[in-house]
Amino acid sequence: MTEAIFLAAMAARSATVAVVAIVGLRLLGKRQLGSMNIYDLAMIMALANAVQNAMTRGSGHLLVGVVSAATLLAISALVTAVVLRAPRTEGSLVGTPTLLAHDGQLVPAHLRQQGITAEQVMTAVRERGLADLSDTLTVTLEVDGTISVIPKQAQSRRHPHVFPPRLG
Amino acid sequence: MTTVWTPTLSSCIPASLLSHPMLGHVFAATSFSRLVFSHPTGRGALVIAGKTSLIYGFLVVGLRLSGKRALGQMNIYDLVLIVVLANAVQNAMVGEDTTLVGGVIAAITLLVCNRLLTTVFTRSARAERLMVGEPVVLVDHGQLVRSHLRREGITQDQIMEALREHEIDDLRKVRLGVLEADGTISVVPTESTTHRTRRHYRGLRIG
Repeated sequence: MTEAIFLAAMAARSATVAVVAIVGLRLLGKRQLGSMNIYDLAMIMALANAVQNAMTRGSGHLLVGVVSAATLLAISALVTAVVLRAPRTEGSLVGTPTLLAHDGQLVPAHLRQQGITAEQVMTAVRERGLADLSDTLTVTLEVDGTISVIPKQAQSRRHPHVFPPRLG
Repeated sequence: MTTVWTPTLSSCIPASLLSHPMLGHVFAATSFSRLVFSHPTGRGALVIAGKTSLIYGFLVVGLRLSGKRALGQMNIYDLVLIVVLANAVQNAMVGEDTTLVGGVIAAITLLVCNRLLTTVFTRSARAERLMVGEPVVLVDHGQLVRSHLRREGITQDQIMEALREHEIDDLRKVRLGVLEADGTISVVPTESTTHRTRRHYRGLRIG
């Protein structure tokens, strides 16, 4: 019985830490996994270690580890289930895409808000095979952290064999 | 609040359980809510926040000095280094503190420090160049920039490999080839049909 109480307490601690980590990462806008630098990676790793004692109370017991891990997995499954059943919550839980540039013009307010630098935008543009921001129609930071680039006249150029030239 | 749910451990556990390996260190906590929502003293909280931000600063400077900046060029040894590094600094951040709030304070400190660093990068292109590195032109209008290749340690074979992965067979068809700060090579072809970059140099592809 007391063992059950202790394990329940560890589950509650793990859940609290997970919620704080999720809310913290969302609030601080660190969702651009696709454009992580090494300092971001070091932060994530250190974060995981920093909360270890807070979750398990420093206990090395196997059962505590299992309960803690199961709690984290359950929360992850719960978030997925909530987003699937109530699509309206997706915006606040997962985030919404952000426009970084439009018609070849950067949107500085959005860059600052998301912590994306102009150089990161240019890298995404070049990785799309374009030389200049003016060749793009839109540059968007997607919710999965990748930066997607839509070039000007995208359709007619990308599928010349699908669309006959006279339609282009 | 605590009057609703206070199974005092010391009163309800048999003496034999008090030496239990898992419960042995629970003596200090007397109720469920105290077991869950434990917190350090105000001074202890400040110490954790201070130590954590110092450690973060140390990690950033250390990674910068070791020259490891590009995630895309990370190999398995670099990844191991980062993981072990994170474990090495754990005790320095929270120490003997096993409270919930202590860990939360360390986590929030790390998040805020990282956000501050990101904000510096978005405000100052110079700081970003210094800390994250800058893109380097490797191919300019079909011509290799040999001095840059040498400096970055990129061979001609690696360039040709990057071109083939962009379905280009000839250096002359390249308008611009750039080694990005994240370690990938982007290729802009002469005729501006759009190609997707294969992130062939990115060992760690997330998202």
